[in-house]
Amino acid sequence: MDETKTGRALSVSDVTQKSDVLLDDYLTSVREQFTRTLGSNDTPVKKHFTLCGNTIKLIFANEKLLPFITPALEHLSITTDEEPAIEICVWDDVTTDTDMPAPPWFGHAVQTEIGNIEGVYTHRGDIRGFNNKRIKAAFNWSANALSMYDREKATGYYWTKDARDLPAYETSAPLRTILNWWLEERGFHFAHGAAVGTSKGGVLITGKGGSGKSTAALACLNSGLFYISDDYCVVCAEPKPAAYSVFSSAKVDSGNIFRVGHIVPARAKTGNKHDDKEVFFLYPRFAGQIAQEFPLNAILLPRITGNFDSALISAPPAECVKALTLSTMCQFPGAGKKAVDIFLKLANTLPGYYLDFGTDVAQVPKLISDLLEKKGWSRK
Amino acid sequence: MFEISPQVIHENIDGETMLVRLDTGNYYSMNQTGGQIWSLIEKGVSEVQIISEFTALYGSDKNITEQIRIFIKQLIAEDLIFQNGNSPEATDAFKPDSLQKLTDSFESPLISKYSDMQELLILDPIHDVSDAGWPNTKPENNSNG
Repeated sequence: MDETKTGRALSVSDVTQKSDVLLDDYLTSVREQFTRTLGSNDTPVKKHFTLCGNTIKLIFANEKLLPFITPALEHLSITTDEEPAIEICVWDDVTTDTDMPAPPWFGHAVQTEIGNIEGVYTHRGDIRGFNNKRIKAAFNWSANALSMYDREKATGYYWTKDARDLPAYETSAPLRTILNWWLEERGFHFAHGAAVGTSKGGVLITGKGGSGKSTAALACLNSGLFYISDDYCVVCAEPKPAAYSVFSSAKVDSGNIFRVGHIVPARAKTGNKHDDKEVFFLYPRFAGQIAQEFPLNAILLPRITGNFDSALISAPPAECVKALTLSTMCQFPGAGKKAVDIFLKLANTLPGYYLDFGTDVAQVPKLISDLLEKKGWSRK
Repeated sequence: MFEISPQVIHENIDGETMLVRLDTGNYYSMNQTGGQIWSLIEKGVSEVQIISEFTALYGSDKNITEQIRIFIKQLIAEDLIFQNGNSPEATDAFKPDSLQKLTDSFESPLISKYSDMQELLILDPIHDVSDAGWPNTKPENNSNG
Protein backbone atom coordinates (compact mmCIF):
# COMPACT_ATOMS: atom_id res chain seq x y z
CA MET A 1 0.00 0.00 0.00
CA ASP A 2 1.29 3.43 -0.84
CA GLU A 3 1.50 5.31 2.44
CA THR A 4 2.43 8.53 0.70
CA LYS A 5 -1.00 8.62 -0.91
CA THR A 6 -3.07 8.43 2.22
CA GLY A 7 -0.48 9.39 4.81
CA ARG A 8 -2.59 7.48 7.29
CA ALA A 9 -1.97 3.87 6.47
CA LEU A 10 -1.06 1.41 9.18
CA SER A 11 1.28 -1.52 8.87
CA VAL A 12 -0.20 -5.01 9.14
CA SER A 13 1.14 -5.52 12.66
CA ASP A 14 -0.01 -2.07 13.77
CA VAL A 15 -3.45 -2.73 12.43
CA THR A 16 -3.72 -6.19 13.91
CA GLN A 17 -2.80 -4.77 17.27
CA LYS A 18 -4.97 -1.72 16.84
CA SER A 19 -8.07 -3.53 15.61
CA ASP A 20 -7.80 -6.06 18.43
CA VAL A 21 -7.75 -3.26 20.96
CA LEU A 22 -10.59 -1.46 19.23
CA LEU A 23 -12.61 -4.65 19.04
CA ASP A 24 -12.00 -5.46 22.69
CA ASP A 25 -12.98 -1.95 23.75
CA TYR A 26 -16.09 -2.05 21.62
CA LEU A 27 -17.19 -5.38 23.05
CA THR A 28 -16.89 -3.83 26.50
CA SER A 29 -19.02 -0.89 25.31
CA VAL A 30 -21.61 -3.23 23.88
CA ARG A 31 -21.74 -5.27 27.09
CA GLU A 32 -22.14 -2.09 29.15
CA GLN A 33 -24.78 -0.83 26.76
CA PHE A 34 -26.85 -3.96 27.26
CA THR A 35 -26.47 -3.62 31.02
CA ARG A 36 -27.76 -0.06 30.72
CA THR A 37 -30.86 -1.25 28.90
CA LEU A 38 -31.60 -3.55 31.85
CA GLY A 39 -31.69 -0.50 34.08
CA SER A 40 -34.67 0.95 32.25
CA ASN A 41 -38.25 0.58 33.42
CA ASP A 42 -38.83 -2.63 31.48
CA THR A 43 -38.26 -6.03 33.01
CA PRO A 44 -35.77 -8.23 31.17
CA VAL A 45 -37.06 -11.58 29.97
CA LYS A 46 -34.98 -14.75 30.16
CA LYS A 47 -35.77 -17.75 27.97
CA HIS A 48 -34.06 -21.12 27.72
CA PHE A 49 -33.83 -23.34 24.66
CA THR A 50 -32.09 -26.57 23.79
CA LEU A 51 -29.95 -26.98 20.69
CA CYS A 52 -27.65 -29.87 19.79
CA GLY A 53 -27.80 -31.15 23.34
CA ASN A 54 -26.87 -27.81 24.90
CA THR A 55 -28.84 -25.23 26.81
CA ILE A 56 -29.06 -21.74 25.36
CA LYS A 57 -30.18 -18.77 27.41
CA LEU A 58 -31.57 -15.69 25.73
CA ILE A 59 -31.85 -12.49 27.72
CA PHE A 60 -34.18 -9.91 26.20
CA ALA A 61 -34.06 -6.32 27.38
CA ASN A 62 -37.86 -6.34 27.42
CA GLU A 63 -40.79 -8.45 26.36
CA LYS A 64 -41.53 -6.27 23.32
CA LEU A 65 -38.60 -7.93 21.56
CA LEU A 66 -39.88 -11.49 21.94
CA PRO A 67 -42.21 -11.58 18.90
CA PHE A 68 -39.23 -10.89 16.63
CA ILE A 69 -37.00 -13.66 17.95
CA THR A 70 -38.78 -16.44 19.83
CA PRO A 71 -41.54 -17.69 17.46
CA ALA A 72 -38.99 -19.51 15.29
CA LEU A 73 -37.32 -21.05 18.35
CA GLU A 74 -40.37 -21.86 20.47
CA HIS A 75 -40.30 -25.59 19.66
CA LEU A 76 -36.90 -25.80 21.39
CA SER A 77 -38.08 -23.97 24.50
CA ILE A 78 -37.26 -25.61 27.84
CA THR A 79 -37.55 -24.80 31.52
CA THR A 80 -34.30 -25.42 33.31
CA ASP A 81 -32.00 -24.18 36.04
CA GLU A 82 -29.06 -25.71 34.21
CA GLU A 83 -26.07 -23.49 33.49
CA PRO A 84 -26.39 -22.50 29.82
CA ALA A 85 -23.66 -23.27 27.31
CA ILE A 86 -24.18 -19.83 25.78
CA GLU A 87 -26.04 -16.67 26.71
CA ILE A 88 -27.24 -14.25 24.07
CA CYS A 89 -28.30 -10.72 24.98
CA VAL A 90 -30.93 -9.18 22.69
CA TRP A 91 -32.05 -5.58 22.46
CA ASP A 92 -32.82 -2.68 20.17
CA ASP A 93 -32.52 1.06 20.53
CA VAL A 94 -36.18 1.88 20.03
CA THR A 95 -37.81 -0.23 22.73
CA THR A 96 -35.06 0.51 25.26
CA ASP A 97 -34.79 4.20 24.38
CA THR A 98 -31.03 3.94 24.15
CA ASP A 99 -28.40 4.69 21.49
CA MET A 100 -25.94 2.01 20.55
CA PRO A 101 -22.33 3.26 20.63
CA ALA A 102 -20.85 3.79 17.17
CA PRO A 103 -18.67 0.91 16.01
CA PRO A 104 -14.91 1.53 15.73
CA TRP A 105 -14.78 0.22 12.19
CA PHE A 106 -17.21 2.65 10.60
CA GLY A 107 -15.90 4.36 7.54
CA HIS A 108 -12.80 2.17 7.39
CA ALA A 109 -11.60 0.46 4.28
CA VAL A 110 -9.08 -2.34 4.08
CA GLN A 111 -6.38 -3.38 1.75
CA THR A 112 -7.08 -7.09 1.48
CA GLU A 113 -4.54 -9.87 1.36
CA ILE A 114 -5.09 -9.95 -2.38
CA GLY A 115 -4.17 -6.29 -2.61
CA ASN A 116 -7.51 -4.67 -3.38
CA ILE A 117 -8.93 -1.78 -1.42
CA GLU A 118 -12.37 -2.70 -0.17
CA GLY A 119 -14.99 -1.65 2.32
CA VAL A 120 -14.80 -3.04 5.82
CA TYR A 121 -18.14 -4.86 5.47
CA THR A 122 -18.49 -7.87 3.21
CA HIS A 123 -21.74 -8.80 1.52
CA ARG A 124 -22.24 -11.75 3.86
CA GLY A 125 -21.66 -9.61 6.93
CA ASP A 126 -18.03 -10.12 7.92
CA ILE A 127 -16.29 -7.03 9.28
CA ARG A 128 -12.84 -7.24 7.76
CA GLY A 129 -10.03 -6.88 10.27
CA PHE A 130 -12.35 -6.93 13.26
CA ASN A 131 -12.45 -10.57 14.21
CA ASN A 132 -10.00 -12.50 16.30
CA LYS A 133 -9.85 -15.79 18.14
CA ARG A 134 -11.78 -14.41 21.09
CA ILE A 135 -14.24 -11.96 19.59
CA LYS A 136 -16.41 -12.35 16.50
CA ALA A 137 -18.35 -9.50 14.96
CA ALA A 138 -20.66 -9.28 11.96
CA PHE A 139 -23.07 -6.73 10.63
CA ASN A 140 -26.06 -7.56 8.51
CA TRP A 141 -26.58 -4.50 6.33
CA SER A 142 -30.08 -5.14 5.18
CA ALA A 143 -31.33 -6.11 8.62
CA ASN A 144 -29.31 -3.34 10.29
CA ALA A 145 -28.33 -5.91 12.91
CA LEU A 146 -25.06 -6.35 14.77
CA SER A 147 -23.96 -9.76 16.03
CA MET A 148 -21.03 -10.15 18.40
CA TYR A 149 -19.72 -13.18 20.24
CA ASP A 150 -17.30 -13.33 23.12
CA ARG A 151 -15.88 -16.81 22.95
CA GLU A 152 -14.18 -16.68 26.37
CA LYS A 153 -17.39 -15.73 28.14
CA ALA A 154 -19.62 -17.78 25.78
CA THR A 155 -21.83 -14.72 25.44
CA GLY A 156 -23.41 -13.31 22.32
CA TYR A 157 -24.85 -9.86 21.70
CA TYR A 158 -27.54 -9.16 19.13
CA TRP A 159 -28.57 -5.59 18.54
CA THR A 160 -30.69 -3.86 15.96
CA LYS A 161 -31.87 -0.29 15.69
CA ASP A 162 -35.58 -1.08 15.61
CA ALA A 163 -36.75 -4.68 15.93
CA ARG A 164 -39.95 -3.81 14.07
CA ASP A 165 -37.85 -3.27 10.94
CA LEU A 166 -36.23 -6.71 10.98
CA PRO A 167 -36.94 -8.40 7.63
CA ALA A 168 -38.69 -11.75 7.43
CA TYR A 169 -35.50 -13.65 6.68
CA GLU A 170 -34.12 -12.40 10.00
CA THR A 171 -37.15 -13.09 12.21
CA SER A 172 -37.62 -16.52 10.61
CA ALA A 173 -33.98 -17.47 11.33
CA PRO A 174 -32.96 -15.30 14.26
CA LEU A 175 -29.52 -15.20 15.89
CA ARG A 176 -28.10 -17.66 13.35
CA THR A 177 -24.77 -15.87 12.99
CA ILE A 178 -24.01 -15.96 16.73
CA LEU A 179 -25.31 -19.52 17.07
CA ASN A 180 -23.11 -20.63 14.19
CA TRP A 181 -19.95 -19.15 15.73
CA TRP A 182 -20.74 -21.01 18.91
CA LEU A 183 -21.72 -24.25 17.17
CA GLU A 184 -18.67 -24.45 14.94
CA GLU A 185 -16.48 -24.69 18.04
CA ARG A 186 -18.38 -27.87 18.86
CA GLY A 187 -18.15 -29.65 15.52
CA PHE A 188 -21.50 -28.44 14.20
CA HIS A 189 -22.31 -25.97 11.43
CA PHE A 190 -25.37 -24.39 9.97
CA ALA A 191 -26.28 -25.75 6.56
CA HIS A 192 -28.37 -23.99 3.97
CA GLY A 193 -30.71 -26.89 3.53
CA ALA A 194 -33.99 -28.55 4.30
CA ALA A 195 -34.14 -31.77 6.28
CA VAL A 196 -36.92 -34.34 6.49
CA GLY A 197 -36.94 -37.96 7.59
CA THR A 198 -37.85 -40.48 10.23
CA SER A 199 -36.45 -41.01 13.71
CA LYS A 200 -34.08 -43.54 12.13
CA GLY A 201 -32.73 -41.22 9.50
CA GLY A 202 -33.43 -38.48 7.04
CA VAL A 203 -32.24 -36.54 4.03
CA LEU A 204 -30.55 -33.17 3.73
CA ILE A 205 -31.98 -31.24 0.78
CA THR A 206 -29.57 -28.54 -0.28
CA GLY A 207 -29.03 -26.09 -3.10
CA LYS A 208 -29.34 -22.44 -3.92
CA GLY A 209 -32.50 -20.43 -3.34
CA GLY A 210 -35.36 -21.32 -5.64
CA SER A 211 -34.16 -24.87 -6.24
CA GLY A 212 -37.17 -26.38 -4.48
CA LYS A 213 -35.88 -27.11 -0.97
CA SER A 214 -38.82 -25.54 0.84
CA THR A 215 -41.49 -27.06 -1.35
CA ALA A 216 -39.96 -30.52 -1.04
CA ALA A 217 -39.65 -30.31 2.74
CA LEU A 218 -43.07 -28.83 3.30
CA ALA A 219 -44.71 -31.38 1.02
CA CYS A 220 -43.40 -34.02 3.44
CA LEU A 221 -45.04 -32.38 6.44
CA ASN A 222 -48.34 -34.20 5.88
CA SER A 223 -46.82 -37.48 4.79
CA GLY A 224 -45.68 -39.04 8.04
CA LEU A 225 -42.10 -37.84 7.68
CA PHE A 226 -40.61 -35.65 10.38
CA TYR A 227 -39.58 -32.12 9.54
CA ILE A 228 -36.43 -30.35 10.72
CA SER A 229 -36.12 -27.41 8.38
CA ASP A 230 -36.97 -25.95 5.01
CA ASP A 231 -34.02 -23.55 4.76
CA TYR A 232 -31.50 -23.68 7.62
CA CYS A 233 -30.59 -26.58 9.84
CA VAL A 234 -27.52 -27.55 11.83
CA VAL A 235 -25.46 -30.53 10.73
CA CYS A 236 -22.52 -32.51 12.02
CA ALA A 237 -20.44 -35.21 10.36
CA GLU A 238 -19.10 -36.97 13.44
CA PRO A 239 -19.53 -39.23 15.24
CA LYS A 240 -22.30 -39.83 12.70
CA PRO A 241 -23.89 -37.51 10.15
CA ALA A 242 -26.91 -35.85 11.72
CA ALA A 243 -29.22 -32.88 11.29
CA TYR A 244 -30.68 -30.72 14.06
CA SER A 245 -33.66 -28.40 14.11
CA VAL A 246 -33.08 -24.75 14.95
CA PHE A 247 -36.03 -22.87 13.50
CA SER A 248 -39.64 -23.99 13.14
CA SER A 249 -40.17 -21.42 10.42
CA ALA A 250 -40.83 -21.96 6.75
CA LYS A 251 -40.56 -19.44 3.93
CA VAL A 252 -42.52 -19.95 0.76
CA ASP A 253 -42.80 -17.90 -2.41
CA SER A 254 -46.25 -16.40 -2.57
CA GLY A 255 -46.78 -18.09 -5.93
CA ASN A 256 -45.95 -21.53 -4.55
CA ILE A 257 -48.13 -21.55 -1.46
CA PHE A 258 -50.87 -23.43 -3.32
CA ARG A 259 -48.48 -26.39 -3.66
CA VAL A 260 -48.23 -26.71 0.13
CA GLY A 261 -51.64 -25.40 1.13
CA HIS A 262 -51.71 -27.45 4.34
CA ILE A 263 -49.31 -24.99 6.01
CA VAL A 264 -51.49 -21.92 5.42
CA PRO A 265 -53.00 -22.01 8.95
CA ALA A 266 -49.46 -21.58 10.31
CA ARG A 267 -48.93 -18.26 8.54
CA ALA A 268 -46.98 -15.78 10.68
CA LYS A 269 -49.12 -13.09 12.24
CA THR A 270 -46.46 -10.40 12.21
CA GLY A 271 -43.28 -9.64 10.34
CA ASN A 272 -42.09 -8.05 7.15
CA LYS A 273 -42.16 -9.91 3.87
CA HIS A 274 -38.93 -10.47 2.00
CA ASP A 275 -38.41 -11.26 -1.67
CA ASP A 276 -42.11 -11.99 -1.98
CA LYS A 277 -41.77 -14.86 0.47
CA GLU A 278 -44.26 -15.50 3.22
CA VAL A 279 -43.25 -16.81 6.61
CA PHE A 280 -44.96 -19.64 8.46
CA PHE A 281 -44.23 -20.86 11.99
CA LEU A 282 -44.94 -24.57 11.99
CA TYR A 283 -44.90 -24.80 15.77
CA PRO A 284 -47.24 -25.38 17.55
CA ARG A 285 -49.69 -26.42 14.79
CA PHE A 286 -47.35 -29.09 13.42
CA ALA A 287 -45.59 -29.83 16.71
CA GLY A 288 -46.02 -33.57 16.29
CA GLN A 289 -44.21 -33.57 12.96
CA ILE A 290 -41.21 -31.48 13.96
CA ALA A 291 -38.14 -33.50 14.95
CA GLN A 292 -35.32 -31.98 16.97
CA GLU A 293 -32.72 -34.23 15.36
CA PHE A 294 -32.20 -37.36 13.30
CA PRO A 295 -29.27 -39.11 11.64
CA LEU A 296 -28.62 -38.14 8.04
CA ASN A 297 -28.75 -40.90 5.45
CA ALA A 298 -28.53 -39.07 2.13
CA ILE A 299 -28.08 -35.69 0.46
CA LEU A 300 -30.62 -34.55 -2.12
CA LEU A 301 -30.01 -31.84 -4.71
CA PRO A 302 -33.37 -30.60 -6.02
CA ARG A 303 -33.76 -29.62 -9.67
CA ILE A 304 -36.94 -28.16 -11.10
CA THR A 305 -37.67 -30.12 -14.28
CA GLY A 306 -41.10 -29.00 -15.40
CA ASN A 307 -42.06 -32.66 -15.90
CA PHE A 308 -45.06 -34.14 -14.14
CA ASP A 309 -43.19 -36.91 -12.36
CA SER A 310 -40.37 -36.59 -9.86
CA ALA A 311 -37.34 -38.87 -9.71
CA LEU A 312 -34.16 -39.54 -7.78
CA ILE A 313 -30.97 -39.89 -9.80
CA SER A 314 -27.54 -40.61 -8.32
CA ALA A 315 -25.37 -37.50 -7.87
CA PRO A 316 -21.58 -37.49 -7.43
CA PRO A 317 -20.05 -36.34 -4.11
CA ALA A 318 -18.47 -33.35 -5.85
CA GLU A 319 -21.89 -31.98 -6.73
CA CYS A 320 -23.08 -32.45 -3.14
CA VAL A 321 -20.02 -30.61 -1.79
CA LYS A 322 -20.53 -27.81 -4.26
CA ALA A 323 -24.22 -27.31 -3.53
CA LEU A 324 -23.88 -27.53 0.23
CA THR A 325 -20.70 -25.51 0.60
CA LEU A 326 -21.32 -22.61 -1.74
CA SER A 327 -24.91 -21.91 -0.79
CA THR A 328 -24.05 -22.06 2.92
CA MET A 329 -20.76 -20.19 2.94
CA CYS A 330 -22.12 -17.23 1.02
CA GLN A 331 -24.51 -16.56 3.91
CA PHE A 332 -22.59 -17.09 7.13
CA PRO A 333 -19.98 -14.56 8.26
CA GLY A 334 -16.75 -16.29 9.18
CA ALA A 335 -17.67 -19.59 7.52
CA GLY A 336 -14.46 -21.23 6.36
CA LYS A 337 -12.39 -24.33 6.91
CA LYS A 338 -14.57 -25.81 9.65
CA ALA A 339 -17.62 -25.63 7.40
CA VAL A 340 -15.79 -27.13 4.45
CA ASP A 341 -14.44 -30.01 6.53
CA ILE A 342 -17.90 -30.96 7.77
CA PHE A 343 -19.48 -30.65 4.34
CA LEU A 344 -16.72 -32.70 2.69
CA LYS A 345 -17.20 -35.47 5.24
CA LEU A 346 -20.95 -35.46 4.74
CA ALA A 347 -20.64 -35.56 0.96
CA ASN A 348 -18.06 -38.33 1.03
CA THR A 349 -20.01 -40.43 3.53
CA LEU A 350 -23.59 -40.07 2.40
CA PRO A 351 -25.03 -41.07 -0.96
CA GLY A 352 -26.14 -38.13 -3.06
CA TYR A 353 -29.12 -37.87 -5.37
CA TYR A 354 -30.57 -35.28 -7.68
CA LEU A 355 -34.19 -34.80 -6.75
CA ASP A 356 -35.72 -34.10 -10.15
CA PHE A 357 -38.71 -32.14 -9.03
CA GLY A 358 -41.90 -32.64 -11.01
CA THR A 359 -45.08 -30.63 -10.92
CA ASP A 360 -46.86 -33.40 -8.99
CA VAL A 361 -45.45 -32.40 -5.62
CA ALA A 362 -47.28 -35.25 -3.87
CA GLN A 363 -44.78 -37.71 -5.37
CA VAL A 364 -41.86 -36.22 -3.49
CA PRO A 365 -42.66 -37.50 0.04
CA LYS A 366 -43.11 -41.03 -1.31
CA LEU A 367 -39.81 -40.90 -3.19
CA ILE A 368 -38.04 -39.80 -0.02
CA SER A 369 -39.82 -42.37 2.15
CA ASP A 370 -38.93 -45.14 -0.31
CA LEU A 371 -35.32 -43.97 -0.34
CA LEU A 372 -35.15 -43.97 3.45
CA GLU A 373 -36.47 -47.52 3.62
CA LYS A 374 -33.59 -48.80 1.55
CA LYS A 375 -30.70 -50.57 3.25
CA GLY A 376 -27.01 -49.81 3.06
CA TRP A 377 -26.47 -46.13 3.30
CA SER A 378 -22.80 -45.39 3.38
CA ARG A 379 -21.10 -44.29 0.21
CA LYS A 380 -17.87 -45.64 1.70
CA MET B 1 -4.38 -21.18 -21.24
CA PHE B 2 -5.48 -21.72 -17.68
CA GLU B 3 -7.01 -24.49 -15.67
CA ILE B 4 -9.11 -24.14 -12.57
CA SER B 5 -7.53 -25.81 -9.55
CA PRO B 6 -9.19 -29.11 -8.69
CA GLN B 7 -9.40 -27.81 -5.10
CA VAL B 8 -11.76 -25.05 -6.21
CA ILE B 9 -15.53 -25.28 -6.35
CA HIS B 10 -17.37 -22.42 -7.94
CA GLU B 11 -20.82 -21.33 -8.98
CA ASN B 12 -22.74 -18.30 -10.06
CA ILE B 13 -25.49 -17.63 -7.54
CA ASP B 14 -27.85 -14.73 -8.24
CA GLY B 15 -25.37 -13.11 -10.61
CA GLU B 16 -22.43 -13.33 -8.24
CA THR B 17 -19.57 -15.72 -8.91
CA MET B 18 -18.37 -17.38 -5.74
CA LEU B 19 -15.57 -19.80 -5.12
CA VAL B 20 -14.33 -21.91 -2.25
CA ARG B 21 -10.90 -23.53 -1.96
CA LEU B 22 -11.66 -26.84 -0.30
CA ASP B 23 -8.16 -27.28 1.15
CA THR B 24 -8.01 -23.91 2.91
CA GLY B 25 -11.70 -23.15 3.41
CA ASN B 26 -11.12 -19.70 1.95
CA TYR B 27 -14.16 -18.21 0.30
CA TYR B 28 -14.02 -15.78 -2.62
CA SER B 29 -16.53 -13.70 -4.50
CA MET B 30 -16.17 -11.71 -7.70
CA ASN B 31 -17.88 -8.71 -9.19
CA GLN B 32 -19.58 -9.03 -12.57
CA THR B 33 -16.48 -8.39 -14.66
CA GLY B 34 -14.52 -10.83 -12.55
CA GLY B 35 -17.27 -13.39 -13.06
CA GLN B 36 -17.13 -12.87 -16.82
CA ILE B 37 -13.37 -13.42 -16.88
CA TRP B 38 -13.74 -16.48 -14.66
CA SER B 39 -16.34 -17.86 -17.05
CA LEU B 40 -13.95 -17.37 -19.99
CA ILE B 41 -11.13 -19.05 -18.07
CA GLU B 42 -13.44 -21.96 -17.37
CA LYS B 43 -13.96 -22.30 -21.11
CA GLY B 44 -10.21 -22.46 -21.68
CA VAL B 45 -9.80 -19.00 -23.17
CA SER B 46 -6.28 -17.53 -23.07
CA GLU B 47 -5.35 -14.24 -21.43
CA VAL B 48 -4.75 -12.64 -24.82
CA GLN B 49 -8.17 -13.72 -26.02
CA ILE B 50 -9.84 -12.51 -22.86
CA ILE B 51 -8.29 -9.07 -23.29
CA SER B 52 -9.28 -9.12 -26.93
CA GLU B 53 -12.90 -9.87 -26.04
CA PHE B 54 -13.12 -7.01 -23.57
CA THR B 55 -11.37 -4.47 -25.79
CA ALA B 56 -13.75 -5.45 -28.58
CA LEU B 57 -16.61 -4.50 -26.29
CA TYR B 58 -15.19 -1.42 -24.61
CA GLY B 59 -12.52 -0.20 -27.02
CA SER B 60 -8.77 -0.59 -26.92
CA ASP B 61 -7.51 0.73 -23.63
CA LYS B 62 -4.30 0.09 -21.73
CA ASN B 63 -6.24 0.18 -18.50
CA ILE B 64 -8.44 -2.73 -19.58
CA THR B 65 -5.41 -4.81 -20.48
CA GLU B 66 -3.67 -3.95 -17.24
CA GLN B 67 -6.70 -4.61 -15.03
CA ILE B 68 -7.37 -7.99 -16.61
CA ARG B 69 -3.71 -9.00 -16.24
CA ILE B 70 -3.68 -7.95 -12.59
CA PHE B 71 -6.86 -9.89 -11.95
CA ILE B 72 -5.51 -13.05 -13.57
CA LYS B 73 -2.28 -12.71 -11.57
CA GLN B 74 -4.37 -12.53 -8.42
CA LEU B 75 -6.20 -15.72 -9.38
CA ILE B 76 -2.88 -17.47 -9.94
CA ALA B 77 -1.39 -16.11 -6.70
CA GLU B 78 -4.36 -17.47 -4.78
CA ASP B 79 -3.90 -20.88 -6.47
CA LEU B 80 -7.38 -20.66 -7.90
CA ILE B 81 -6.09 -21.27 -11.42
CA PHE B 82 -2.82 -22.41 -12.93
CA GLN B 83 -1.28 -22.01 -16.34
CA ASN B 84 -1.54 -24.84 -18.80
CA GLY B 85 -0.33 -24.36 -22.35
CA ASN B 86 -2.22 -27.26 -23.90
CA SER B 87 -5.89 -26.81 -24.44
CA PRO B 88 -6.51 -25.70 -28.02
CA GLU B 89 -9.75 -27.67 -28.23
CA ALA B 90 -11.25 -25.62 -25.45
CA THR B 91 -10.29 -22.46 -27.30
CA ASP B 92 -12.09 -23.62 -30.39
CA ALA B 93 -15.18 -24.32 -28.33
CA PHE B 94 -15.34 -20.71 -27.18
CA LYS B 95 -18.01 -18.59 -28.78
CA PRO B 96 -17.08 -14.89 -28.78
CA ASP B 97 -20.71 -13.82 -28.71
CA SER B 98 -21.10 -15.28 -25.24
CA LEU B 99 -19.55 -12.15 -23.67
CA GLN B 100 -22.12 -9.48 -22.92
CA LYS B 101 -21.58 -5.80 -22.33
CA LEU B 102 -22.89 -5.33 -18.80
CA THR B 103 -21.98 -1.71 -18.22
CA ASP B 104 -21.43 1.34 -20.43
CA SER B 105 -17.80 1.59 -19.43
CA PHE B 106 -15.35 -1.09 -18.38
CA GLU B 107 -15.64 -2.00 -14.72
CA SER B 108 -12.42 -3.34 -13.23
CA PRO B 109 -12.56 -7.01 -12.29
CA LEU B 110 -12.48 -7.54 -8.54
CA ILE B 111 -12.11 -10.60 -6.37
CA SER B 112 -12.79 -10.53 -2.65
CA LYS B 113 -11.34 -13.06 -0.27
CA TYR B 114 -12.86 -13.99 3.05
CA SER B 115 -10.57 -15.68 5.51
CA ASP B 116 -10.00 -15.45 9.22
CA MET B 117 -6.71 -13.64 8.69
CA GLN B 118 -6.36 -10.03 9.65
CA GLU B 119 -6.15 -7.62 6.78
CA LEU B 120 -4.48 -4.27 6.31
CA LEU B 121 -6.61 -1.36 7.41
CA ILE B 122 -6.47 2.10 5.98
CA LEU B 123 -8.29 5.01 7.50
CA ASP B 124 -9.94 6.56 4.48
CA PRO B 125 -13.69 6.52 4.98
CA ILE B 126 -15.38 5.06 1.94
CA HIS B 127 -18.88 4.46 3.21
CA ASP B 128 -21.67 6.89 3.72
CA VAL B 129 -22.25 6.65 7.45
CA SER B 130 -24.80 8.20 9.74
CA ASP B 131 -23.86 10.44 12.64
CA ALA B 132 -24.19 7.42 14.90
CA GLY B 133 -21.59 5.58 12.85
CA TRP B 134 -23.79 2.97 11.24
CA PRO B 135 -23.86 2.58 7.48
CA ASN B 136 -26.53 4.35 5.46
CA THR B 137 -26.02 2.51 2.22
CA LYS B 138 -26.23 -1.16 1.45
CA PRO B 139 -23.83 -3.15 -0.68
CA GLU B 140 -25.21 -5.26 -3.47
CA ASN B 141 -26.33 -8.81 -2.81
CA ASN B 142 -26.65 -8.45 0.93
CA SER B 143 -29.74 -10.29 1.87
CA ASN B 144 -28.52 -13.28 3.80
CA GLY B 145 -31.77 -14.91 3.01
